[in-house]
Amino acid sequence: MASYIVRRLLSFVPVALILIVFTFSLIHLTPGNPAYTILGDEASPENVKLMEAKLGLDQPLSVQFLHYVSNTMHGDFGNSLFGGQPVLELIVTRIPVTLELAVLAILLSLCISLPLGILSANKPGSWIDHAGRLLALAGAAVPTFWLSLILVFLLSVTVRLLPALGWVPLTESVGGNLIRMIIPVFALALPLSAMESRMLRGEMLEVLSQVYIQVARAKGIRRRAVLMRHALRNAVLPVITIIGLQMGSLLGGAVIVESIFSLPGMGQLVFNSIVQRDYSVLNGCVLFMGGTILMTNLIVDVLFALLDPRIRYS
Amino acid sequence: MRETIIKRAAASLLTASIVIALLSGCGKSSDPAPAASGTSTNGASASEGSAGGKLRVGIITDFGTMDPAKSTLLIDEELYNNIYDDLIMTTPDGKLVPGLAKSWTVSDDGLTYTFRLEQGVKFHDGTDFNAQAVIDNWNWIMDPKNASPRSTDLNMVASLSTPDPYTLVVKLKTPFTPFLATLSDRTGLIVSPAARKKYGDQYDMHPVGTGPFEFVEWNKNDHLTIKKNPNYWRKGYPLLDEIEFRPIVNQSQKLNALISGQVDIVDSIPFQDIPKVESMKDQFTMTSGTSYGFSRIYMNLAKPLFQNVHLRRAMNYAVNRDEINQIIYFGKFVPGYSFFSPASWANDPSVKYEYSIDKAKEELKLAGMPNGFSFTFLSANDPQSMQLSQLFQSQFAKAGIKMNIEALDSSAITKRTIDGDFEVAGGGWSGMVDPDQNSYAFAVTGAPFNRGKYSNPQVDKLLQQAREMSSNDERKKIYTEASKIINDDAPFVFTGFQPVLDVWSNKVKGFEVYPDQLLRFYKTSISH
Repeated sequence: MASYIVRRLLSFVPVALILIVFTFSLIHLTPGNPAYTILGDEASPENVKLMEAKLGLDQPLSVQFLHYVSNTMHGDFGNSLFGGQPVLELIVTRIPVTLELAVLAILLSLCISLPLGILSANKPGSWIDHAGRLLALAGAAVPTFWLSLILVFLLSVTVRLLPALGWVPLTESVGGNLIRMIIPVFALALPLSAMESRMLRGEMLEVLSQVYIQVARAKGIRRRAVLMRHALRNAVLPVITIIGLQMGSLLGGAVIVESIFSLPGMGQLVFNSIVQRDYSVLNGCVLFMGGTILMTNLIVDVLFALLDPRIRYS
Repeated sequence: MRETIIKRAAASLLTASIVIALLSGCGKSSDPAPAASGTSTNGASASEGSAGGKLRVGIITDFGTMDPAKSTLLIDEELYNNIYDDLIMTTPDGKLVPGLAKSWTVSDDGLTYTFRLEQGVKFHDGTDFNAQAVIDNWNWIMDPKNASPRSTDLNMVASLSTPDPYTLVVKLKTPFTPFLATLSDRTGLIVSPAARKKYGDQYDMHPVGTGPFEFVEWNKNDHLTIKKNPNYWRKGYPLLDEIEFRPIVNQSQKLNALISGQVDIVDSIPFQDIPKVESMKDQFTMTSGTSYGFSRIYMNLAKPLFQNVHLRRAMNYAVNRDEINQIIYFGKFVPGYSFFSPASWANDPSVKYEYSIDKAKEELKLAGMPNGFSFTFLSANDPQSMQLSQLFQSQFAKAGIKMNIEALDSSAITKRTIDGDFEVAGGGWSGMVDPDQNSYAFAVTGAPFNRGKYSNPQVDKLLQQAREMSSNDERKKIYTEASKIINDDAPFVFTGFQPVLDVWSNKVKGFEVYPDQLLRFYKTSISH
């Protein structure tokens, strides 16, 4: 197990390198450059030259790239091109917001999908199964930004029940924080719970048709116990996989949700660095998010081994 | 497995780009430009509420820098007038009035400016404001190693001197009447030299001015807070205790935030929200002043096709400005045909192009292209710019002119137009108080924003003359003459002047709207 984890950690290095190359080329392949972005429409050719020199953009691409890779490898993510703050500091101060958003969204999605998945599987074709199917369809089809704005329109503008946007740190006011998280968390959790509940339903049906379940039933164990103790434990594995795989889209969703609700998290940072072409911040964010996704999947694999003794990692 | 991640990432990026487009849809792409700044006259009547309280401001995007000498974004200026003071201020009707400079005289040859400065003014860090502080500020800007985008404002300065601590004498190389207007802009905002020295490159995060409010904290992308300066030199001001600026990048959320009470005032709203705000007059006030800025499309005269003046005139006749106003701007735009907005004294309504498809077709015949021609237009890729481009496309089509749209991100357009790699491009300018600032750089041969390479010695001469004259009435005549020549040459298709759309809750009192689109809160109060 330990050696497996170490090997997995080592495999991060090439992936991180690929990520660096990918983000670096992505930004440099798009037309325009930060000098023009900083100077806006005012850009006069002289000022652009001065600014490019100041940002080191006048160097050949290969030099810029090597410079960048070596800095990153040394843990130096550079400073923001605009405000001059260290990138690492910007990222670190934003983690709590996105983390809270992601954790709450995953929890909420489980609260929705577990009962829904179990009940749908328990009585396929019942009204609850149909409701689950409808929710899954909606969750998969409705774009996050549209759902967010509709919820704001209903709950903030029409009824004036919840704030339309904004952020209050947990340390300042727990209630104030949570009330502002309701809509964004729901908007993020819905597509997630759609996938999870359908996945769980399918797995449960498969497990329930297996011989050992029939044996358990024949032994006279109560239906509920069979469902919860024997079937769910085996059916829930793929759901955990889904959460791991969904980490990427969760972070992607966070970009959208945070920019809609003006939440000062990673997503908003990514969004702004894309808009402003703040290369150094964007690279830092992508690396960080990529790392998060890799870590999540590692944790999922480890959890698997713990949940299912049959899984052996040689 | 991996594939789905990549697919998802692509989908997320796509959605993000839609949001980005929404974000830039409100003026950012069309006018990332500086604007004149200042504060209103002491004589202006503003209904004042009770003192105290906190004002929450929703802004279009986060600030770039707190340092006026480094700033190029209009958004920065929305903040500056609240923490810094300008040497000269402007009024909502475009007059120049005293700021940190109590009075000034200009020598007859227009070369020597003598400013008397306010005494007893202190920066927020307790250091004294005086003539030396101004000189220190300007020396920093003029130092090439600082690559300050503001250095062009001081190009014509020959020397600076201080006969006494509160008198500043500026000698210019050539007469330059708009110099005073320049001092009502970022170059006239004076930062504490001591603070600049102390913080160096980190000054951005520790701005120190003499203004009505002091900087408290800036949590990027979340909020920037400023608090009352208790020792403000204008007695009795400011009225508010605290102001919090919050970027709301998703424009459709601006009105929602106002309605649900998270902010008290916003610096702009999407045009499609105008009818809704107008139906809520009992709660909100919306102003739609006209800005100093203009919008236009410009042809690349370096391309042989566009060297034909008849073809350019045809394009001018073919554009229906009223339709643009109704469809894109919900009637809040002022159709226009020159650089000079009705907000400016230089505006002359007799300068005009009529809308006439017949005349457009006639000009096309004269151009030797009775069946029209086709060209490619560089459009910013935000929804509003795209909508406008499609409208142009349909209007040109009526005259038989085929317009192809190439949609790009605005910084890519800036690069392409600077490199001359385009046929026709468009855009706006948020505008400044002096007409010279809104025309010279766009029309004079070889000037920095003259990206279509228009060149007419007569226009060059007139715009230079207007720089050296001191009487505004005389200058106006010259600007009108130049505008008529420009319209004959038709290197641009002017479309009109952008509205300023501030919306605030009726609890907010004493807020004034300026044509330079900036926010000045020292007289503002809020009732709870």
